[in-house]
This record gives sequence, structure tokens and C-alpha cells, in this order.
Amino acid sequence: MTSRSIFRPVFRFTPSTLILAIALPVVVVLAMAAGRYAIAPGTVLRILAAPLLGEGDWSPLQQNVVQGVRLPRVLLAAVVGAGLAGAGAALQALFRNPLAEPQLLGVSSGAAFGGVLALLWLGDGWPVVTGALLWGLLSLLAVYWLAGARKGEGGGTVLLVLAGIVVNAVFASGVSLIKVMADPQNQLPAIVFWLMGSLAAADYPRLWLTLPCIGLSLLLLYGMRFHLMALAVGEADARSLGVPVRRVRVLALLAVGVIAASSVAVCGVVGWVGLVVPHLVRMSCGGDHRRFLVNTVLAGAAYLVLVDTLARTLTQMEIPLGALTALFGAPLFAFLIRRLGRSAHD
Amino acid sequence: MRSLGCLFVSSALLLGAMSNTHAGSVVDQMGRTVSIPERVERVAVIPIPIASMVMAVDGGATRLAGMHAASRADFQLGMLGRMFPEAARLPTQVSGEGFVPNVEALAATRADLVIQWGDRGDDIVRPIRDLGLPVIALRYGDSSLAAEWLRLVGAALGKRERGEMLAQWFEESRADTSKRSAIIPDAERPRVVYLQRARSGLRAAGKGTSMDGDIRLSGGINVAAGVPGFAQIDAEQLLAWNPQIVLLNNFEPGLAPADLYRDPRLQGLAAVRDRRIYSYPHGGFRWDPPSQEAPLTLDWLSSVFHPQRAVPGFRVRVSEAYRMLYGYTLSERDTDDLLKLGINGDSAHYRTLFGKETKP
Repeated sequence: MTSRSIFRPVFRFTPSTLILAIALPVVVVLAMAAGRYAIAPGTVLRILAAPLLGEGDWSPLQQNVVQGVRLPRVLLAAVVGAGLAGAGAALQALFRNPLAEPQLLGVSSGAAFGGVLALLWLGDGWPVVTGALLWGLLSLLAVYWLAGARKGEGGGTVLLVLAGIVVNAVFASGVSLIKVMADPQNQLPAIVFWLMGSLAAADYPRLWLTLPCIGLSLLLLYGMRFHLMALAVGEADARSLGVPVRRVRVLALLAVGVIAASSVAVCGVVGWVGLVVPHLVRMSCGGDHRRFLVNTVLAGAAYLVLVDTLARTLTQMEIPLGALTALFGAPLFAFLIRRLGRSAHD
Repeated sequence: MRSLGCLFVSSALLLGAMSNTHAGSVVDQMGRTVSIPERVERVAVIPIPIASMVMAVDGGATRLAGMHAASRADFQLGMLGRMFPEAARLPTQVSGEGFVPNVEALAATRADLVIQWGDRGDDIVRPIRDLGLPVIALRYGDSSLAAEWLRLVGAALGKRERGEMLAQWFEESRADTSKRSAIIPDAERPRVVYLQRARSGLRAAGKGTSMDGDIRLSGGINVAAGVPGFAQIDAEQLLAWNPQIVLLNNFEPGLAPADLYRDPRLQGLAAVRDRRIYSYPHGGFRWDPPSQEAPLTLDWLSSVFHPQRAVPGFRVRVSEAYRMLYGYTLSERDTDDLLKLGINGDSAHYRTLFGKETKP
């Protein structure tokens, strides 16, 4: 029974998963062909295949655009999008609240605070990444401690959400204070841009940092997907089904925290993905609960790759990714709320 | 009676010439008439480049009552700290984020007159006027505006002649450089980009920035002229523009051409391949935004853009300008440091153009 429940989903693709699993690479290839530097899509494909098929007649500059600039950025968008969407889905199950999002727990604010602090004292680059990661995890611990979740029992989700609000407020004001302290010419513009969220700084080191953090966290969530689903129905029901509620909650929160912090670390605060994508998947793929997490992760990756492609190609200027995800996310979400509201009344 | 009156007038004139007493008014860059107090003992300045301009016009920092924190941060990085070490002790709390004046701190400096930006809305000027202090409002933008700053600072300090003299030097040297570069055929003009940020994202200076004007005036083509103001761009856009010359800012301390030469994402870029990335010099003020040293910036830019046409003796011209502007004699090491021979030295033509061994 156990071995079957482990292996069955790997080999049985439902249509929705199959479609998404095909759509994601297609979106990635399309995104690779788009950019401000004009390269024929065929050349892009041949450059991508160069490690297998060997060198061709393209210029070093073209090769660098494809391999050095676009590829890490598109892949990083996919990884971050997958992570944020997966984290959103997990939180919504955990809190039994369709509005749950990584930002809700204050992890994003904590990570933002850590990154801004690093920008103030240590400068750009790796200090920002490590600072965001450390403070993101620290804020998660703070939320956890405030909510008294260690003791297992209690108001659980409500307390966690309230603790998240508190932690959010503290770190948000911390960020504001740092912005006042920052040198308005040297540091403030860097801080403001980083907070707005962008993948423009994407490179391989950032990809290699994020990929294992988000990949392992998603695997952890995937391993607990049935438990999370049971929790989504209700804590008492989950208990009666033999779900180790406390352990699942701790591990899931840890995974979400790592995802949120590592994505903030490499591209600032990119909101709305964790909220919009799970809902889109729920609406379009219906009640296929077994594949929900996988579908959400695939869709999240494709979604952020698409949005980031717009951010880097629409104008000569870089459009802040966080601004675009909010711009698309909010109306999309408003539409979903209306639809949900209507179907609830039917 | 009349002779007594004459005596009174002439002695007043004499006094006026000897001390800093003066009357009169100026029209600032926002078109507002500002009456200058009889005695200006202390001046507080909020625009970042004006602190060093006051020192240039006045020959020291004794009448500077307060300045922006970023003005002082700039001292240590450039030459100002070496030329006027006493200025490092001045109060810097007169302004907060976005040049919002801290009126209580301004009052505490006991300033007789304040200089502020005028083109960022009256909300950051009015509180100072309400305090009862005369405010001279300046406009930011093209580097040519700085000639008028010199005149206004001169008027504020009761040194109109000196302000006028420096403004004329400013305008004449600017005109010289632009005349020299006007004859350069379009085909020889290099494609240039100025990066106001190169570490935390990339930000290029587009249309309407002082750098855009300076690049054009010095015989270059700004590849970012199609975007308005300072625009965030990504690495791919930079590669698509493929500039032959990249100019680096003085806003990110420690930034050096080597950082870009090393960046794997920028390999293949013309400026990287030809090693034509230069960090703007940093003198009494940073050379990228407008200041009293803007004519030197243009001279430097046109040499970097057109090494074959460069007028020899750049170091001598800088020395002369510093004697006139600051009454300071640059040592060879000072000149090396302000021209950043250390980090720019390995870029193409740089040592030949600006190194000590140049034969004038």
C-alpha cells in the first residue's frame, strides 16, 4: 500500500499534468527566443544545443546573450515561480485559507529586511543573498515562537496568521527605518530597486544557490502532499486519518520559509504568484487533488517565466517584476474572487 | 552736509569692499527674486554639489553652516577632504530623504541664507521661506546650468565678481570643447553609455540627463538616448546596444572597470573587447553630475572619446583649474588619484592620455 502510494503518482500522468508538463518547456523555449538583442530563434536553439551538437557560425556575443544572460534568467524565473506557487499552495492547505501566501507569514518581510540591512552595511552581491536567507528563516522562527506552535496544540492557524502580521509589521518598519538611514545617492536607489523585485541580476551563481533550496523544499512538500491535503480538510479529520499534524506543519513551514527567503534573496519581493497560480490551477484543473501540487508548481514556473519575459522585453527599460506580477495578479485574483463568490451562491 | 554724506557713502562702499557686507537681490533659477541679507556669515546648502561649490567660490568652508549628508560622504572619496579637511566637521542634518529640509536643524545652524533645489516642487522650499530665511532655488539638469549656480553662489556670498569670473571660465571652456567636437564627423563618434548603476542592477543615463548632454557635447553618441531619464536596464539590453565605450559612475564606491571586464555576462561587448571602460574622475566633486568642474569633465570625455584628437596637456589644465577654483596646488599623486590612474590605467589609451609621462 505504502509503496504503491509512493510510486503511483510518478507513473500516472493525468491530462492536466501532462499538458502543463509539455507547456512549461515550450514556454521556456519561447522565452529564450525573445529578448532585446535580436537573435533568430533557430540560432538560439542551435546555441542551446551547442554542448551536444558542437559549435556553429554564431558570434561570441550571440552565444553570451543566450548562454550567459538569457538562460540563467529564464531558468531562475522558472525555479522561483515554481517555488512561490508551490509555497502558496502548501500554505493555503496548511491554513485552510485561500488567501494564504508566503508574504503572509512575514518571511518575505524578514528576508527583505535582511537584504536591505546587508545593502546598508555590507554592500551588494552575496551579503544580500545570505542576509535575506538568514533573516527570512529568523522571522519564520519568530512567527513560530510567537504563535506558540512548538506546544503543538492551540489556535494554530489563526495565531500563526496574527504572528505573521506582527512580524511583517516589525520588519516592514525596520525596512523603512533603514531607508531613512541609507545614503540617498549611493544606497537608497539600490535598496528601492531591490525591494521592487527583479530578475535582472540573474546569473549562474544565483541559480545554483536557489535551485537546491527551492528544489529540496518542493520535494519535501511533495512528499507530504497527501498529509497537506488532509490538513486542508481539517485538523481533526487529519488527525483521525493518522496525519502527524505537528510534524507536517513544522516541516511545511520550514519548506515555505526557505522558498520565500531564497527567492527574495535572489530577486527581491515578488508578490502575488503564490496567491494567483494555485487558484488558477484549482479553477482550470478542477478537483484533481492528487496532482494539485505538481500542477501548481509547473504552472507557477511557466507563469513567472512569461511575466519576466514581458518585464525584460516590452521596453528598453527593465520593468520591475514585482510591479508586473502585482499588476496581473490583482485583477486576475479579483476575477477569481467574483467567480468563486458566484459559484458559492449557485 | 553734502561732503559728510559723500564721506558716509564712500566709507560704506569701502567697508562693503573689505568685508562681506552687501545688499541687493538675485533672481534664482526658479525666477523668484531673493533679497540677499546685508551680512551673510553662514550659508546652509542642501543640493549635494553646492557644498563644494561654496568652498570653491569662497576659498574655504568657514562660512558653510550646514550641508547634505551625501555632500560630506563625497569628501572622503574625492579630493575635497584633502583640500578642505576642516569641512568634514560641519553639520549634515539639514536635510532628510528626498532633499526634504529639516527646518529645526536649519534654524540651529544659524544660517543667514539657504540654497535648495527648486525643481522638485515648492514643498521642499516653502518650509525654509516660512522659517524666515532667504532661499536661493536651483534647477537640476544639463551641466550648463552649473554656470548660473556659480553666479548665484557668488551673489549669495557677496562675491559676485568671483562668481562671474568662474562662470565665464566655465562657459568658455565648455564652448571650446563643444567647438572642437562639433567638427568630428558622425562616423567617428563612438557609441557610449553611462552607467549610473552597475552593481545593483544596471542603470543607464537616457534623454534629459546631464550625462546625455555631456556625451553629445564631447563628440560621442549616447546609445541610451532613447530612454527617458535614468533607466533600469538588463544585461541583454546593454549587449544589444553594444557600446564602444562604457562610463562608470562615482555613486557606487569601489566600482572599477575591472568589475565589468570580468563579468561573464558582458563578454563580447565592444567596450569590454576593446578595453574602453572608464570610471569618471573624482575631484572637488564627482565628475559625472554637474558641478564647477564640469568643463574639465567635458575635456576629459572628449579625450577619452577621441584619443587621436586629444589636446595634450590635460594634467596641466587640471592643475591650473584647481589653482583657480580652490587655490590648491595639486601634487602629481593628487592628479593621479583624481584621474583614477589606478583603476583606469589598464583601459585603452588611458595612461597615454592622462599619465605623468605625457609630453605636453
